[in-house]
Amino acid sequence: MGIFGKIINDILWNLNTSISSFTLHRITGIALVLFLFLHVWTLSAVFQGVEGFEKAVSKFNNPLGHAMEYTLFLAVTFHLLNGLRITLVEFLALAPQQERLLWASLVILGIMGLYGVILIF
Amino acid sequence: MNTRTGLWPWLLQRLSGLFLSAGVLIHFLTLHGSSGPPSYAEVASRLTSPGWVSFYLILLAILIYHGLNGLWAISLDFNTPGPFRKGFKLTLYLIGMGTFLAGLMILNSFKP
Repeated sequence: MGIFGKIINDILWNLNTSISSFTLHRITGIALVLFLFLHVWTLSAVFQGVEGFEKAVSKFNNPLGHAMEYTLFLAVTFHLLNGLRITLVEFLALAPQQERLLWASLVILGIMGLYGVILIF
Repeated sequence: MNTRTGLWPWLLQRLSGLFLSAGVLIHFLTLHGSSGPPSYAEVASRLTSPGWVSFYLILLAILIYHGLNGLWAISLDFNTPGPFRKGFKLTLYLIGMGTFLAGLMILNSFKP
């Protein structure tokens, strides 16, 4: 079994809220780094002048583009809230409350998810 | 979690995260206030302000640091051999500097 298989096995055998949020934090983190490159790539169309730029940014102005934007919005919001939770737990020694904070951040994520639907679509 | 990441990367990851929480929110609210994609003129006029240009440069630099430092921390958990680790670190530095340079050139290309 390769190292990835081992890690996936570790996660599946210890499935709980801590390891789920830890894994999701890493997955969204990697995805957001990849998005940063896509974002810089898209904006580099400015080297082709005004028309090149507007053509590039309008590529995402369709249902598929909006669905991608919404996924991005959810990934950023989850990563931000969970990161804030980790920071609060570590800086303010709130380890006993960490799970409650996780549920609180998920509730906020849910509300933001609904808000995002209105905002993006 | 690996403990080899050290105190400074750990602390800076939290501090940069706090900064990005505010920065990304500002970035999101300025660009999604109007409907549809931003026009060239709109972006170019915002970038005539030194304050906005500094905001974007700082946001980009801290975002690159946070993202690549995060990838580095993840890679440490895989317990890779020394030479791979060195090569990966060098790659991350090059990607980081290249991305920042690209961002700098992009910001510099918007003419009002």
